[in-house]
Amino acid sequence: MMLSFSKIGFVARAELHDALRSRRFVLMLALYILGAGGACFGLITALHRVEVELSNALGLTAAASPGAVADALWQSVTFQRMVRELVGNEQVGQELLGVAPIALIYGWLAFTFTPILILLSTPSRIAEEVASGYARFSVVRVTRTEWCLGKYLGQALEVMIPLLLSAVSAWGVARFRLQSLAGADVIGAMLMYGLKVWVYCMAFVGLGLGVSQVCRSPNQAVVLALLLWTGLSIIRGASQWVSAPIWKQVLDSVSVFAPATQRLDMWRTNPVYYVPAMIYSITLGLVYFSLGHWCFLRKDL
Amino acid sequence: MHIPHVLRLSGVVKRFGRCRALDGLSLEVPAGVAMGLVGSNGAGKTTSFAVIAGYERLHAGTIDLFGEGPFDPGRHAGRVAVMPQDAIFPSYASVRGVLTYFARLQGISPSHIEKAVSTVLDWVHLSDRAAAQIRTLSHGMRRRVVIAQAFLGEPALVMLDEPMSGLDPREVANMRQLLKERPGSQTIIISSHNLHEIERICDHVAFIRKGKLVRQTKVSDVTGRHHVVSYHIAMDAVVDLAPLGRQMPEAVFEMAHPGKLVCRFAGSTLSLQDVNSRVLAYLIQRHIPVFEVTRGDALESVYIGDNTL
Repeated sequence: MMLSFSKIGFVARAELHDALRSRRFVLMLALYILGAGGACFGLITALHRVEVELSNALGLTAAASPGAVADALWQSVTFQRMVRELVGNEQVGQELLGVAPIALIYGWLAFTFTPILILLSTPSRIAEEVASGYARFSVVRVTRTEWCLGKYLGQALEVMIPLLLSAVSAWGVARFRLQSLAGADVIGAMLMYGLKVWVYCMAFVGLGLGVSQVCRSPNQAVVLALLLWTGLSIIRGASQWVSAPIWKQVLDSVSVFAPATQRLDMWRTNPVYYVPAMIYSITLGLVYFSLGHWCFLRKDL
Repeated sequence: MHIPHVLRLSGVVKRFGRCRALDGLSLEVPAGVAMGLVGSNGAGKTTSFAVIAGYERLHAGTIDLFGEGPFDPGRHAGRVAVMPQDAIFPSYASVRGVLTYFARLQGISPSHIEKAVSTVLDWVHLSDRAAAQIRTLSHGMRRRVVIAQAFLGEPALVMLDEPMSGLDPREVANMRQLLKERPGSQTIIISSHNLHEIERICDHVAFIRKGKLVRQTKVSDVTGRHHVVSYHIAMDAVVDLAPLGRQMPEAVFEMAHPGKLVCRFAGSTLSLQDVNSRVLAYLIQRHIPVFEVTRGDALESVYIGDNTL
């Protein structure tokens, strides 16, 4: 079957265009920007309070702007050892210590909340058009595969916009409140994390759209996607605790399909680790999408 | 004479659970005709459209479009269009936006899209609402947008499911005119319960019952437009039919009910003009008021009166 890339592009463009005009996207954008900016603001404010209290306790004059203690803390050997132990991986811990704290905060927020937001919005996309009958106007003009791939591409692009804008928002807040820790290199690191989170989320977009192709009801699709994600996350978590070799093997095998599998490698700054993780996430997304699409090709619309 | 068919269905079966919505449906649609698909609720009309357009999968049988096999959007995009019965557009989309999108998808060249969209909007009298969002349109207007998308780029085969539903009388008349004036090469299949409209628009009709084709023929053959004339006369008028029978032994006269005289004749031996001039002269000579003369039986009467359809 020959695919028309121009038609896939038309569908993707329409998907993105529709998304940009929808209330859902505006809400998502607001959540990303305010969430990232607000979280940075809150953290820096808390940090400043700690600094002030610490200075008062020591009988020193507190700095007017936050960051002095954080800077010192970041450089301390004890703190660095603590970070490495918290991360659970010497190498990753060491790499993270080379990244600006604000970029790490942004990265943590983006890695944690973007998948949830994606799984709340993406699974309904195809299901709602099938439910309303709108899909019928499209699938007499393009193949189902072209239509679904266009949706995938459109959704992927839709995720990128709030991610990058939220990085800028978080950096803007940090720049305003924490000048010493928000230079030009920090925005670079934040945008890099934004890009990594975007690629990492391709697995979630694939999961969402895969489920969306199977379900007839948009709400059912969202619930199913969240259940699948939760189930796979539990299996992944359990695989680290189970000691029986057979069960561990089974759980390890299943947990390779968990969309969050590559998260740790995505944190790393060395491309030797994060590039394969990116490829894995994209592939995993395409696997989910393809499984759903296999059903969609056989489905009555 | 070989009639090229745009569509052939052969032994098509479609099941929904234990229900056979299409139970061996076979149908041939000649090129360039307007065919009405008639049947009661659940007869399989909408399902027929769905399987032809590839929305739903067949369980058995074959469908052949333009002699090229079953529907394939890669091959048939822009040549086959459907107006689904219940499908709706997103409320936030604009009329022109949605039509432009479909025009792009079906492969109309970018330089022709604007003209193609404007043409169909003119047809359905929505040019002045081109920039409006779908949510601001009335139900009837939305239906007109759905109709408009089906005619984008003048597809060779257009399938319309209840096209007149929800339209105001002016738009119904406009739609009727539009369908009658379609390009000669365009084939239209209309599924409708409005048999009056089918009769006025279509030249062919197919009756479907329980997922099977019961009869497929020309509308004129069903309604007898060429061999039946009805005279609507005064209700209390008494007509002696014997002299008429003697004048035209090839014709059969009967009073269908008080006030309606029906003449059936063989088109090969008598012409409509002959029958009309003699019967009208007979009635006028006897001072029997004639209020209306109609050709043939109404499709609706035939359908309701014939339990096999």
